[in-house]
Amino acid sequence: MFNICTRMLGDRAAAEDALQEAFVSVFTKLHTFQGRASLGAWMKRIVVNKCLSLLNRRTLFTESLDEQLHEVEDESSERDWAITEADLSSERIHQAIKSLPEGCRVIFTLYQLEGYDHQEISEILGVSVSTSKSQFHRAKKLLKEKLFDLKPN
Amino acid sequence: MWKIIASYIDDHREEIDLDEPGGQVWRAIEQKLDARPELKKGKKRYFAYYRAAAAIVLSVGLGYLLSRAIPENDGSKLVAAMDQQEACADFEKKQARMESTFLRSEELVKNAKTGAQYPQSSQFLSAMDSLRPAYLKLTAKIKKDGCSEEIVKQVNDHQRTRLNWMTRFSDHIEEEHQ
Repeated sequence: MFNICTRMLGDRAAAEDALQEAFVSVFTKLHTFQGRASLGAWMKRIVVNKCLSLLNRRTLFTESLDEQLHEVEDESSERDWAITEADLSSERIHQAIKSLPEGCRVIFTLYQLEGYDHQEISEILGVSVSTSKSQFHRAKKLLKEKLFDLKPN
Repeated sequence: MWKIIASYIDDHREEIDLDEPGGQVWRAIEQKLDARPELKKGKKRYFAYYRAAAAIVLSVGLGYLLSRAIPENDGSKLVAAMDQQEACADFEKKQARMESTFLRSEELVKNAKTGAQYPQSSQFLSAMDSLRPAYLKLTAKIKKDGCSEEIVKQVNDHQRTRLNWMTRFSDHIEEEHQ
């Protein structure tokens, strides 16, 4: 849960505040848990909502469409970013994810790591499904670049 | 290339969660929750035996371990190093015993008090199970990096959190068993 907070908020102190508030909410709202989803999923949703309340949703996705379009994945450059599993490590991936810009980092965290789909993310964040998909695409591209840069010589 | 990265992330999902909250977070949560009004008195305490056992084991055991792992006086470096070595050897052994007691207690509770007729209890206990990987990660860290004051503190905080969760959950589980 703490790692969801650090990835969404990008700041350790803010993540600790969010976790603290979220857990207090979990305990105080336990009686409202209906058992429709797993307890873990219910708790995760409270944590995500708490993080979102600390983020300014309106400034998450303010980049221009042009900027986003320029960052659409260019398959032709795949050759230049050759990377193998041996070049990867949990620490490098952890660092690379944390260095992503806020908007696409939040979507990457929710989609790739926490298992939400784009429809759910669009509802949680109040953005369109296409924005969620394009930001995830952007996150993948930036991650590849960052992991390539972090690749050991 | 993305497939390699995505596959690596999926295969190493838990290892990527490297951030750990400071102990003050759990203490702050406990303080906030402790400030809340207590549940109604007079209810049957289904989990009393578990709570008592776990609380004694954890408070006495961890208090002892912590005091052993952090020498009170500096002394000579040699003596301090020997103390640390001894405390850490003791720490691992005691910690393993404590974990085993914890698991046995959880198993007893599961067998006796959960089942299809108690869906919420089952959910809560599965949430408790989900805390175990963090403990295993800490023990792996001890094996890899050796014992230190910091790791003792982390284990202490983790087990206290686990106990606190079980205590809180049990209040709600008891309501279901009424």
